[in-house]
Amino acid sequence: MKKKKKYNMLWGNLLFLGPSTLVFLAVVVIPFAISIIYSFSNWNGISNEIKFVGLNNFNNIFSGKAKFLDAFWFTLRITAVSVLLINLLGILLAVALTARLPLRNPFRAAFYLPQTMGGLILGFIWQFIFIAGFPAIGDKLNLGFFTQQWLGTEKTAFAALVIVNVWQNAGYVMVIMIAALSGISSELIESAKVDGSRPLNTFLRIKLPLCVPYITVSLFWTISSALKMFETNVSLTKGGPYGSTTSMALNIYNDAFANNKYGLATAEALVFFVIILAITSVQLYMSKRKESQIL
Amino acid sequence: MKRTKGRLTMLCVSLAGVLALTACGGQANEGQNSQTGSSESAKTKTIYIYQNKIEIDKALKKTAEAYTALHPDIQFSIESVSDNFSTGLKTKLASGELPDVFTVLGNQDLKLWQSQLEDLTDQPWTKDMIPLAKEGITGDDGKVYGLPVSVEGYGYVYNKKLFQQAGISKVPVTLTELKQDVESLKSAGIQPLVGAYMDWYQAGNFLVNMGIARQKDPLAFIKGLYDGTATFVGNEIFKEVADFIQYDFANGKNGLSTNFNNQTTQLVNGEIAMTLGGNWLQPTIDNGNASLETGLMPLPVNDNPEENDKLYAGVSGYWAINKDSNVKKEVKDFFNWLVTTPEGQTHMTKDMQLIPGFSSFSADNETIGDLGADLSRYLKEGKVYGSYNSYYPDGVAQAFGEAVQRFVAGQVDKDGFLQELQNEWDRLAE
Repeated sequence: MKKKKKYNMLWGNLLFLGPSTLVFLAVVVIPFAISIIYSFSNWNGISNEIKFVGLNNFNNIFSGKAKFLDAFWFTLRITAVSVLLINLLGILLAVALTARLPLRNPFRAAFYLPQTMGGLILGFIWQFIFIAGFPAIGDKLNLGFFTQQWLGTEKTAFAALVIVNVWQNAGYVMVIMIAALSGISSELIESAKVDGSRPLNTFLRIKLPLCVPYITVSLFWTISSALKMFETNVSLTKGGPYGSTTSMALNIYNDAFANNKYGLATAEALVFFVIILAITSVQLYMSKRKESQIL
Repeated sequence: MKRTKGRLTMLCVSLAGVLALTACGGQANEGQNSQTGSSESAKTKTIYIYQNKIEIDKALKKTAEAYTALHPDIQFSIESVSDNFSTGLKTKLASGELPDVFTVLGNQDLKLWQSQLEDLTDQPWTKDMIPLAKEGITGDDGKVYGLPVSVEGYGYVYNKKLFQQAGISKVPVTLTELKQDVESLKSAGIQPLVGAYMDWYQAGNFLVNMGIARQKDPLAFIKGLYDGTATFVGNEIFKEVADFIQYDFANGKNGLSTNFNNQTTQLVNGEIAMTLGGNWLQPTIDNGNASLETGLMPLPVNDNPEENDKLYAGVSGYWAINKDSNVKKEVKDFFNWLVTTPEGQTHMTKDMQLIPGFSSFSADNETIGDLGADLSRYLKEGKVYGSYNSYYPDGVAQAFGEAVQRFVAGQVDKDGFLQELQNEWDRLAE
C-alpha cells in the first residue's frame, strides 16, 4: 500500500514539475552550459569554424584589454548612485503618499507610471528631452543649467542616466514601501503617540525598522536591475560620449553583435553573472542579518 | 489504478498544451518565412527580403508589387531596418530564419557571411558591374556573391540659398577657401556647420575614412595596418584630417549632443549652411522641404585644389541570396529583371533614386535630385576617393567614432588621437 502511494507521488511530481523542469532545462540550463563552452572559443557568432583558445578570453577581460573592466567600473558607480537615490526617493514618496493627502491615488498612479513603460521608449523620450527640451527651456528662461550639452559630456551623461533611472524606478520602490507602511498596525503607532513620540521619531524608530524586510526586497531588486542596466543605456546615450557610459550589459552586446567576438562576449557574460550573483548574495545576507537583529 | 490513469491523461494534456504553445510560436512567423510559406501552397512563392536602406522601403515595395503584377505567383515580404540591421540578421540566422535576400556590406562582412551565400558569378549582370562595385563582393575564391544596390557618396551637403545670402558664388575646394566661406557665413549671421558627433556612426565611418582614402594606396595602407607595417601614428595625411575634424567640430554647434535626426532636421529646416552627409539624404530632403536647394561639395583638408576637389564614394551594400533558400531561382529571376530590363532599371533609378553600380545603365539625373546629380558628375569626372570602412576589422568603425568623440571633446590631443586609432585597430584586428 505504501509502495503504491509512492508510485502515485512520482506521477504527481512528474505532472506538476515535469513540464517546468523540461522548459527550465531547455531554456536555462542547456544554453548556460553551451555558453560556458563558447566562452573558451573565438567563435564569431556566424561561421562554422570554432577554435578553442583556452583561457584567452578571460585573460583579455582581466588584463583590461577587452574594455570590460571600464564598463564594470562605470556600472558599479551608477549602481551605487542610483540605488541610493531610488530607494531614498521611493521611501520619501511612500511616506508622503500614505499621509492623508487630497488626490493621493492619482499621485500614486502618476509616480508608478514610468515603471510601466519600456526602458527603450523612456530612453528615446528622454533623449529628446535632453537634446531639444532642456535647451528650449534654458533659452527661454536664460538658465545655463538647462542649456548645457547634457548627453555630450561624461559627467552630465552620467547624471542624465541617473535621472532617468531614478525617475523610472522610484515608483516601484514607492509601491513596495506603501504596502509596508500601511501594513503597520495602527495600535502600535497610537501607543507610541500616547508615549509622547514625535512623528519623526516614530518614523525612524518604529516604522522604518518594521519595514526592513520590504527594504531588503527593494534593495535586492534595485541593485540587480541597476547592474543589468541595458535598454535605457542603449537608447539614451548608446554608451557615449566616447564610450564613457557603457554598462556591462551594453559592452557584452557590443562585443557579441558589433565586434563579432562572440566567444569573448560569452566569457564576459559569465563574469557578469558571477559578479551579479556575488553582489546580490552579499546584499541579501547582510540585510537578512539586519532583519533578524531588529525583528 | 484509475487515479493513475487520470493523472496520466492530465500529464498528456499538459504536455500537449506546451507543444501547442510552441507550435503557435512557430506559426506566427510563417508569413515572413518563405521556407514554410512555400510548403503551404505550391503555387505562390514568397521572397523574403531583409535590407538596410530604410529610405527606399516604400519604393522597393512598389517595385515588388510591379513584379508581382507581371508574375502573379511571386509574392514579396520586405523588411527594412537601418539601426541594428546586422544584429537583427544574426538573430534571424540563429533562429533558423535567415531571409532569402539580405544586405551584405562587402569585404569583411562578405568574409563573415560567405559560407551562407549563393554564388552569383554566372548571372548575366555580373559582367556589367563597375570595378568599384565588383571588388567589394568578390570573395577570395574569385566568385561574385551579391548585387550592388547603390553607389553612395559623401561630402558636405550645403544649402545653396544660404551660400548665396552670404555672397558665396562657388563651392570651396581648398581649406583656405573653406575657412573664408565659413567666416562670411558667420558674418551673415548663418550657422556655418553642424556635425552629428553624438553618434559614433558618421565620425567613425566617414571622417576617419578620409584619412585612409587619401593615402597613396589605401588598400596597401590597410594591409599594412593588418600586418603591422603601417601605422596611424605620425601619418601626415591623418594629421591633416585630424585638424580638419577639429575645425569642423569647433565651427559647429553642440556637436556632442547632436544626433543624426537633429542634424537632418536642422539641414532640412534651412538652419545650417553645411553638414557632413551624402546622396542618401535626398529622399529625406524631398519629403521634408522640397523647395530646399542643396548640393554636395568636397571636404578640403589642405590647399591643393586637385587633391581636395573630390567626393568620397563607395557601394553601400549588396543584396545577397541565402544559399539554403527555397526560392533561389525566383530571386535570381527577380534580380535579372531588376537590372537587365528597362522596366526594372527604371524602378532602380527613378523610384528608388539609386545610382547603379553597373555600367549598363546610369542614374537618372532628373529624379536622383541635386545631391545625386552632383555625385554622379564627380563620379563621371573620376574625382572620387574610395570608401574603405568595409575593410576594417569588425567593430573598428564604432571604436574609431568614440576616438573622434574623445578627440573633439579635448580628452586627447592630436597625437593621442592617432595613437588611439592605432590601439583600437590592434585591439579589434586580432
